[in-house]
Amino acid sequence: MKKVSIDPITRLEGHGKIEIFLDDKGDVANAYLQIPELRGFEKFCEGRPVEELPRITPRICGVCPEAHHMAATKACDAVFHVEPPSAGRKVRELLYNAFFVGDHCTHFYALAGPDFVMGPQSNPAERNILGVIGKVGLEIGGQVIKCRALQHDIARIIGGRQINPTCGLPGGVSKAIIEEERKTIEESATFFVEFAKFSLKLFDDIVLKNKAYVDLILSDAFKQRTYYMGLVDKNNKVNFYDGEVRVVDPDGKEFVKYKPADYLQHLAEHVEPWSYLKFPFLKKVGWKGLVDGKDSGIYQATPLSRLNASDGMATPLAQEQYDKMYKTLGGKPVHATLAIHWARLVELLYAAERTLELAKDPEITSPNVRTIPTETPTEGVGIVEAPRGTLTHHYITDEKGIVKKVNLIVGTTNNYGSINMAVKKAAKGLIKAGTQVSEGLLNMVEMAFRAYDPCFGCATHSLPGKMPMTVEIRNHQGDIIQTLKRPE
Amino acid sequence: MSKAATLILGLGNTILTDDRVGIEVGKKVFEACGGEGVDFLEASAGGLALLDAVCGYENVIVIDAIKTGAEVGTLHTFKACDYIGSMRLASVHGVDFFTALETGRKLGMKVPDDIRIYAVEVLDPYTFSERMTPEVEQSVPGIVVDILKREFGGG
Repeated sequence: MKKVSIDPITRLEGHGKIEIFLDDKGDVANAYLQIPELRGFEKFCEGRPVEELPRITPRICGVCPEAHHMAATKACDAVFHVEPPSAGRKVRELLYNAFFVGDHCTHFYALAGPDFVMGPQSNPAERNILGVIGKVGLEIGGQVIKCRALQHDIARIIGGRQINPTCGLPGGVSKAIIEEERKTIEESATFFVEFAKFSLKLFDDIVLKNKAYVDLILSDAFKQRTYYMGLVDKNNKVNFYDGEVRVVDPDGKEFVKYKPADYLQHLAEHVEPWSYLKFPFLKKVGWKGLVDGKDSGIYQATPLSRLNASDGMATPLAQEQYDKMYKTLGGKPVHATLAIHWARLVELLYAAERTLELAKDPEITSPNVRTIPTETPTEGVGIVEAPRGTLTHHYITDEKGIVKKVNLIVGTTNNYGSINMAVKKAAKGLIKAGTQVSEGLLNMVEMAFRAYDPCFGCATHSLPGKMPMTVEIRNHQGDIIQTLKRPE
Repeated sequence: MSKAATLILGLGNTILTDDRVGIEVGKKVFEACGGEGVDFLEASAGGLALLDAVCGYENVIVIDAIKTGAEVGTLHTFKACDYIGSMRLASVHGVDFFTALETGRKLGMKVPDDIRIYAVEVLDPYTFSERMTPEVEQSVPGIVVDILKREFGGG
């Protein structure tokens, strides 16, 4: 058995390490993504007042602080048995959808975009946001920066800070939106809608009209048939902020729909001795190993999963794009990993439309944004959709609201099994007996990995196009016969 | 709100033990320099988010933690024109600080020409705690004096 290791260099803490095992013929037998770091964040939260967790948990990750803030705030609602008033819910949802706009925009242009705009085999030195700007033009590059800046401004207005918002309280939010602020947000949201439409057009021109890219998206190397999960509203339409968790099977049929408080009845976590990250799976299907298919309890929670698990989008322009995507890719559900990028853009448009809807809602400037809790705190679950997957916060407190236990299932954790399988599939497609392993392996493995926009507690750090990796290929006696390193 | 000429940017994560040193030192430098013509910002972010923070200033003083194996409390100095690979300033979800600055320049944004980086050698930036290690805590006063001398001629 030969081993190929893709190991981030030491300055990145070795958060993620990919080991590829070859059989005696030189074909890929197995691949594993190891997470060697124990984060211990849940233990760190014990003993604290639960209402502090919306301010502490965003520090897990500086990229999606709003997601943790919102899940924690909703968990606090549940712990204190309090419902926010309608205006409070809407203010939260407004902040949250604006956040999705900024996050999805950044991912497409800074991360996914380089693979498609520059090409997966392009020079790594150019396969980044600078290369994209060079190709699409300064004006578009400026629009990306503007989109982010406007979203940060909305976060500051509603959340109190540009990054790491602090507005979430049990029962609502800390401050209402005044009319002057509402107008600013409405203006920004109008820009978001136009930019989202433009981004989908760009994807159409650059990716969908390029047969090679479409073939890549639909190729078997990037396909897995799993269950799919996402939050849906009462009409089974995608909702990032609230609803029930819906899971469909690999054929697209509803498998289960549950309220957040019931998540432990449906999910369990499998442990492997070679990684600190656990593998969530569907209890009623069972853990069958790192395999896909209807008999395996592995599920995915990604932008594509959300669309697969829903009956559509709740806003008209996004619904049109949803229909177009499924028509192009042959119907629901879609199993193509790289189609996650397309789904992400459909979601970008929904988030933009929803931000505009809420900004125009007459209730959005109501001063009644909080219900003061009066019940004794006990236990609660808050679930939102983080950009990269369903995010669950579960807190148990004593009668004074001091945290006794925390369980978090973060977006990427849901996908850990699928990411492993995606890496293995990509490797199988590229490493064959008798062929020299090339730098192309590193790029293709990155593409499979990057489609999930993984966040191992902000543990994995890389630049698109030049993910630091070391690949060691060993013969059956364990001797290194080839080493690939990036950077050199 | 108009910006001052100089920004002190303290970077770090305040629940990762020594990773908070950039913010702690930044706050103390700002308090000691008197604040005239100087703004202070603490941030637990990287990449494009920092681009928004630094644009519009004439010069920026960045203060952060670093782990190179040098003696704890050593103050490393860099300029943004030096390439530095950093695990905190690069992310799968965005771009690194230096690419962000270059992006801003290409787009005609007012990216400061003069960005100076002070990186404090730390012991433990990985485990969860709201307190720094004693070794790093003890080094803070001397580091503040050092930066004040270099930047403001005081201390």
